Amino acid sequence: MIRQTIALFRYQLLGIINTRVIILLCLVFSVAFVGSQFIAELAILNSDDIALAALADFLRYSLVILLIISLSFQVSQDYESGQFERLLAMPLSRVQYVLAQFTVLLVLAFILIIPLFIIVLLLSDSTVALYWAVATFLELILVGQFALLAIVSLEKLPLSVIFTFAIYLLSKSASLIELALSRSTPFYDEEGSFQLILFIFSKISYVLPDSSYFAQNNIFFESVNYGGILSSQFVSVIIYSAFIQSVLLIDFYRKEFN
Amino acid sequence: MKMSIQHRNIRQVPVYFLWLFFIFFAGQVFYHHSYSESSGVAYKQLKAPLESGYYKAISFGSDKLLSFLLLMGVQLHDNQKGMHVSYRHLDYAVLSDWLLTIEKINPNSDYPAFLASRVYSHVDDKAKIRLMVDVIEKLFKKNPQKHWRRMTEACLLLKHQLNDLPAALKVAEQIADLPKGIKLPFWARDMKLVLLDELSQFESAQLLISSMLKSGEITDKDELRFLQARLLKIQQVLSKN
Repeated sequence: MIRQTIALFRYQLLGIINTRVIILLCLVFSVAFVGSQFIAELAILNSDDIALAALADFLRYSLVILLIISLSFQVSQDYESGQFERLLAMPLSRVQYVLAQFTVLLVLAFILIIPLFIIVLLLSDSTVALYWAVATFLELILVGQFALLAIVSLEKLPLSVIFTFAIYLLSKSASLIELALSRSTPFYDEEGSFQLILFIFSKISYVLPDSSYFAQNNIFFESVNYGGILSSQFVSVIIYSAFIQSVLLIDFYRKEFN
Repeated sequence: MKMSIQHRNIRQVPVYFLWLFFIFFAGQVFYHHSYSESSGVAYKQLKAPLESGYYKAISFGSDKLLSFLLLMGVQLHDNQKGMHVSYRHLDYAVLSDWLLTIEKINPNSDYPAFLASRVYSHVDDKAKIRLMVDVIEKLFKKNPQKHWRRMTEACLLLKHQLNDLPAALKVAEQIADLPKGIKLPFWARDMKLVLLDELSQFESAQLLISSMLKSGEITDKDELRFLQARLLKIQQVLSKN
């Protein structure tokens, strides 16, 4: 079983990593570096910290976008080329396919954070670089699983990419929505529709990641307990990953390929 | 045989070419004149900031980075269409709101107070300097340990830029009255003596900057570089005098 999963994983991974992706990565890292140096030139104080934080955030979001598109594209190809039918005709269970995709996600996220770790290490110290690389890795794992769930469920590339970005942005902007709702409460408190929105949002927030699930950019400006925030993020991501994987498996096993 | 070229009389040029020349010349002058006027009018004032909570919410967790980027946006506001606009044209009431809002987003940063005392106070408008001193005082009241250095600079602004020694002494008193738990170098608590001394603007500034540099309180390399450059400039002015 393991040998088949590894073979599938290798096949899937080779489909994602190609020269174009490597060139794109080089381009993204170059733009991030030049942009951060430009920002450093503008700052009168704390220029190094600001440049590093801007570079780290730009790279984090760039890698998230790259990961979502790469993973979604790879699975969508399986749908379009009828690969699923062929795979399921082989002695390969659906859980092995999900496991192979998850391994692809782990390895791809690891490959993506290596240059991130190196560039942050060159501009900062090893503790900061290690924190940012691990925290971004965990964030990539989380978002990658959103992408896998979306593409397996929705099957179409544009739809699943939009859905994944929407969930990612919704998770990130939970505090903005909470603020907007709390400011609106005095005006619409007695309206039933507003109460319904409040109810729905409060329930949705239970199944959405909050800010502690993501890499904390503020560490570039203040001394923090890296171990503490990393372990909190790690536990959150593990629990949430288990939840997403269960949803993914249920949805995947319910699919009928004709 | 070498061909020679000589200029003919201008009357030889067809008259409609001359008309075209005058029309296009006038067009160019008119266009340039209108463009210069429009660029002057097009100076956009700073827009009032939103509440700090909104910026924190839209920062996606990178609120400290956003606070610095917002400050840079404010800093760059005096550069519009490739021209540097004098601080006199800035709306300092809105600028004060920006500095105070950004401080709320990132209370641990000294950057807004630094801009108020060292950048935006360099304007030949007393009301605007007074607004910057107010910003420094507000920030100092919120976090004296963080902003006492800016307060000492505010003392000099009040004395030398606004010629308001009583106000400068009141500000110096606020520094002197700080609880002993707040660590300050002795010269900061004795700002009154610096103010009452018959020192010129440059001599006071030289004394203040040298004391700051020697105190070891400044750790940011950008600020150290900034102050060293300032000190050198002041020393050059004093040596000329």
